[in-house]
Amino acid sequence: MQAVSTQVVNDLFWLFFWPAVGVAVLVFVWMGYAMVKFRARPGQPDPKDAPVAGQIPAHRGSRKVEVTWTVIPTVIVLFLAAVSIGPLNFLWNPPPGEHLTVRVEAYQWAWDFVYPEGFKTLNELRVPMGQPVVLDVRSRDVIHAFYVPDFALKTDAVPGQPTVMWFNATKTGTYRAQCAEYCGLAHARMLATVVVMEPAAFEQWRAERARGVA
Amino acid sequence: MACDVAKPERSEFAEKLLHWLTTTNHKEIGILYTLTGLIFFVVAGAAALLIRAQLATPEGTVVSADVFNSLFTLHGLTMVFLAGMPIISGFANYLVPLQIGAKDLPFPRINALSFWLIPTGGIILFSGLLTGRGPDMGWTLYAPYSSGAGVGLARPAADLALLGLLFLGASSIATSINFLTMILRMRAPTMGLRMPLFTWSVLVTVFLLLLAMPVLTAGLAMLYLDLTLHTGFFNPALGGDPVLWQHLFWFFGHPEVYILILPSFGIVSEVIPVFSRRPIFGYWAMAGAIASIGLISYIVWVHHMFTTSVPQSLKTIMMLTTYLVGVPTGIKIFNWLATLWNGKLHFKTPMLFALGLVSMFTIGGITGIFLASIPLDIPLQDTYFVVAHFHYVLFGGTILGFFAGLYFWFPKMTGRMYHEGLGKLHFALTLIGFNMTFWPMHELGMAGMPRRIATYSADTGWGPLNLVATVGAFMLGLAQLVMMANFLRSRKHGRPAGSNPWGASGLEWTVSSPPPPHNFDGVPVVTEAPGESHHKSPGGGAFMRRLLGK
Repeated sequence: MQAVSTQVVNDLFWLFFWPAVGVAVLVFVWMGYAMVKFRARPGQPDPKDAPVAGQIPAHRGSRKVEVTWTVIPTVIVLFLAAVSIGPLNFLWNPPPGEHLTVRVEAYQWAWDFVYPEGFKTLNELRVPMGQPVVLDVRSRDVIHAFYVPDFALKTDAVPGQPTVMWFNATKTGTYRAQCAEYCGLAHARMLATVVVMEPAAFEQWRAERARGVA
Repeated sequence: MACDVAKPERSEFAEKLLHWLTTTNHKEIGILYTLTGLIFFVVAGAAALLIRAQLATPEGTVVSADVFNSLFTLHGLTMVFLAGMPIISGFANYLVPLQIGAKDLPFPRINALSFWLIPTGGIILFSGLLTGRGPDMGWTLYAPYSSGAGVGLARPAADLALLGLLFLGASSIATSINFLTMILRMRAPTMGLRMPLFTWSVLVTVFLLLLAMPVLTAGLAMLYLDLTLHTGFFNPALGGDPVLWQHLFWFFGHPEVYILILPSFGIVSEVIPVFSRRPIFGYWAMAGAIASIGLISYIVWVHHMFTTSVPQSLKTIMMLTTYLVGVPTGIKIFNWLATLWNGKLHFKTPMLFALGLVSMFTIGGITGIFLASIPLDIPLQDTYFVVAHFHYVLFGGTILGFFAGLYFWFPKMTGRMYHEGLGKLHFALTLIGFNMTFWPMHELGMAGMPRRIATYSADTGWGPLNLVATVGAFMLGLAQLVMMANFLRSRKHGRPAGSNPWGASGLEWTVSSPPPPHNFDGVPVVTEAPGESHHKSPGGGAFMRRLLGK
């Protein structure tokens, strides 16, 4: 996995996946079976309670059955909501302590990444591997969204309302980032890369860039 | 003299035209609504095909980014406001008075006004195209891009789109009052609350419209003022709040989703019992599920805003409420399936589309359960996964339901049967084309493809699945020509239908096809099945009666 968040979201996804497949199979098999088993046969008379024009149809149903398929789905959805809470706390709250915080400034149609030392990079976010990195995401004009699919993370860049996103990358490499909130003409070209570096290499790069500013 | 011969011929056409321009009869207005909706459905569908053509390959060059942005804006706005809602109004206008035993709506002239506001608003909405640039802010009209912040907003197309939408909103509000009054006050005296489920769905839908549409209207007015007078409601540079727009929009927008789908649920709840030759299973559970979906739809809107700056507490609450929607939705699916049990199933075209809805909507519902979970929504929000999800709901649900209803009531509206073979061909092509188009989008979304991008580079690897989706979309487009050919042909040359070709139960099937202008001679009487008395019905029925009186 490329980041801890990727793992967390991935695990949750599979927790949802199998109950989802179960429900889909139930519905499709139930429907398919009924379509074959209860298809009209030549000469078969209509059931006794078949519709009659202008007549309110007879009551048909069972309270026990209705209660069953009210209660069981309620339990399932509450379970799925409950298991979402843990990952949510993880994704929303950076771990305590001091972390590298990069200010992300979005504008039509590019990204500035501003480091604590004051230097900035254009459309390229460099971060160290294995350390939490906090992004302070802002916009200068309209709403954008900073989206890194490989980290399973996204947050809107709302003008006037900073948002926070954090991640801990676990593999070095170059990852794609893209604006995910439609923002006008060149929205599709509002791309960036996230470069995850070995911590030592990152610190060296950072020091060099910081000196360049000073 | 030649003039004398030509004149009466012209005046006959003119008279017919004048009749359709001034009619206040609910059935004729219903037909006007449906045809208008279908015309815009073709327009919005054509926009979708251009979108798919552009995305078929990486670095597509079919249209420019500018044109692409206005294509997806017009596709969304048109499908929701000018195709979906008018077609629903068409069904509701034509059928509800017949189903409840009324002669017309309580305010027929307001009803005519409601209809004529639709093409008026539609023309205004599209008129920006005359300037060479169509509206380009997406159907969600997100501020502050839509209110003029940043660069590039297509003006005056944006202003005109907002004005057009205000007309459409006024139409919906008037319609909702008309229908609410009719359904609550004008039912046949012996009917009580045992209304056909389509009428139930319309009742809940107009409640939703009446409460949601004014909120959108207020928001649209503020957005329009922002654009023209720089009032700054949604512009942070002027002290406004862009997220406020999202609250207003989705407070309307989420109920809107149910406004679009509940009538189709109602249609399917009429079709499945008829072609199963059994009553619906769990009538009160079905009516109750429609009503509770309607209620819950007001308290889930922040699930469209899980990646915004909204406080975590509100997001968490709306995640929980969103999960609750799954319960009544599941009840509906299970009751439809139970209705099939021990039935005698006839697979005519309306039944095929109804079962198509049950299965495709199930998939859309299941992906909705994924998106309701905030940790899963964060990566999937605004990607093609969401596009896939809502097309399984709005095409797999709403539109397949429309098709079921069109085939089911076509004989009632025209007096003639459609061609069954062509109907089945339409169904098969639609189902295959639909799944080919939208199934791959789940995977594209999980691979990180954002929605509303005019192009993508080859190294993303999104090319092949996009090509499949495009081929599917063109198949889906062609399939609709089969339906149109079928209806155009059958309207004149179909087999005469008689008053009740399906052996259905509603009051609309007791009158001739097409029904006489005044619908019923005298006040119609609904009877009860032998040994039944709905006035003594237990449980849900008693509760509903207490709630609504009668």
